[in-house]
Amino acid sequence: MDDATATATAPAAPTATTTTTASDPTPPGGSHGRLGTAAWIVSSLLLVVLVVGIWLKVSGDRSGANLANAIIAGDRPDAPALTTETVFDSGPTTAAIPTDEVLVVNWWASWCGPCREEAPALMEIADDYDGRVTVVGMNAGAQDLQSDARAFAREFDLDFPLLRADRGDEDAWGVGGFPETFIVGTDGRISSFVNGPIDEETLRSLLDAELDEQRGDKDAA
Amino acid sequence: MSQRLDQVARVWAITAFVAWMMLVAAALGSTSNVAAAAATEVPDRPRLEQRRDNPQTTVDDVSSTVMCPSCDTTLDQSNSPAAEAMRVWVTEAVDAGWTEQEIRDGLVEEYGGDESILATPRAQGIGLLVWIVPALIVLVAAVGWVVLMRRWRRGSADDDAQTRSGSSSYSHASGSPSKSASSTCSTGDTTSPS
Repeated sequence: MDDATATATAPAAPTATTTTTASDPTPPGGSHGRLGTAAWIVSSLLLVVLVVGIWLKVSGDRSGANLANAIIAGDRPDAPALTTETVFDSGPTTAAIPTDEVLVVNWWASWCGPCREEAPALMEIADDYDGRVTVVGMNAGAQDLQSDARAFAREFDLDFPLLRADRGDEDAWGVGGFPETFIVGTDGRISSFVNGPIDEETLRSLLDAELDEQRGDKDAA
Repeated sequence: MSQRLDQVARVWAITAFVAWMMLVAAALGSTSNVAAAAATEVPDRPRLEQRRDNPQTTVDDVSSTVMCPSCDTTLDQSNSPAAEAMRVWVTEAVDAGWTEQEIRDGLVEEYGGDESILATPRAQGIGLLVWIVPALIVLVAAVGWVVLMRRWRRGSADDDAQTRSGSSSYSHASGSPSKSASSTCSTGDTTSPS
């Protein structure tokens, strides 16, 4: 890239100077010199815009990837904020999600087959752990038609909070595919995550472990 | 003669066979697409509002101007499940007589107002830049080209004049027309009549 800049700019500058010095000090020669400088400035600006654009596109938001790495390394990273957008205009809102319960944040899309398979299990969990655990359905709003998402929720009678995430939320949570499920403790930190479909047994054991840990923390306090 | 006829017949037969195979493949392709669309139809979704009696556009036309939501390609380049779901919706909108613009607007709304679903951004706000900047670049390049060409032409004309004045005896000897004579005249050649 630097070489390109060097080769692109190097000939431009001498041309501008040679025109002004070589030709007579008449208006045409002067205007060519000014034109050369303007072209040089414009092309440099375009190059800067291009480089910045590519850098922004390539770098992106890496916080989600860090999140997954932290969980795998055994840390409990802070869970990103939950979006306030919901799948339905009416129904449970983000504000209605209790802060003193463990959360199951399940990312889904209506076209995803495994999401379809695990939906009944999530309903089962939501009922069985009522009062201790809240299931939150995170619909991938940037990849799923809203009408399809609503149809999916109606089909499975999902009555837990259904939020509609955008690309920023996907990046923040580091979600690459669907489904993906995060367990968030009452301290607002992620204790575990499952990449791909989750069965009821696994989810129960993860939740029981998290609830036990919190009970232990409370006893210790 | 008969050999040549044989050759022509063979070429014809092969061409007809290939054309026939392409036709069959195209027919199979379109029917399988229809089957896929029917299979993935969403049962609990209300039908889209019927806006006109006749289709205003085609699924193919729309598919090349919108993005597959889960991949970095346009819709017509993708068969991912997310793209299939989108195609079902677009097909339904085309059947309901929506125009291409209405479908594009509808898709932006369906995907939470995310305009990155459009392959070509709308010509408003920051999206306007995408349309203006290339035109501007072409314009600047054209002006630059004209300026450069003029300068080159003037430069070569000056060079010509210099060469001619330098080798005036050659141009006289070769009996070139009055143009070179006048150029030698202007450089102050005393031999030619004023």
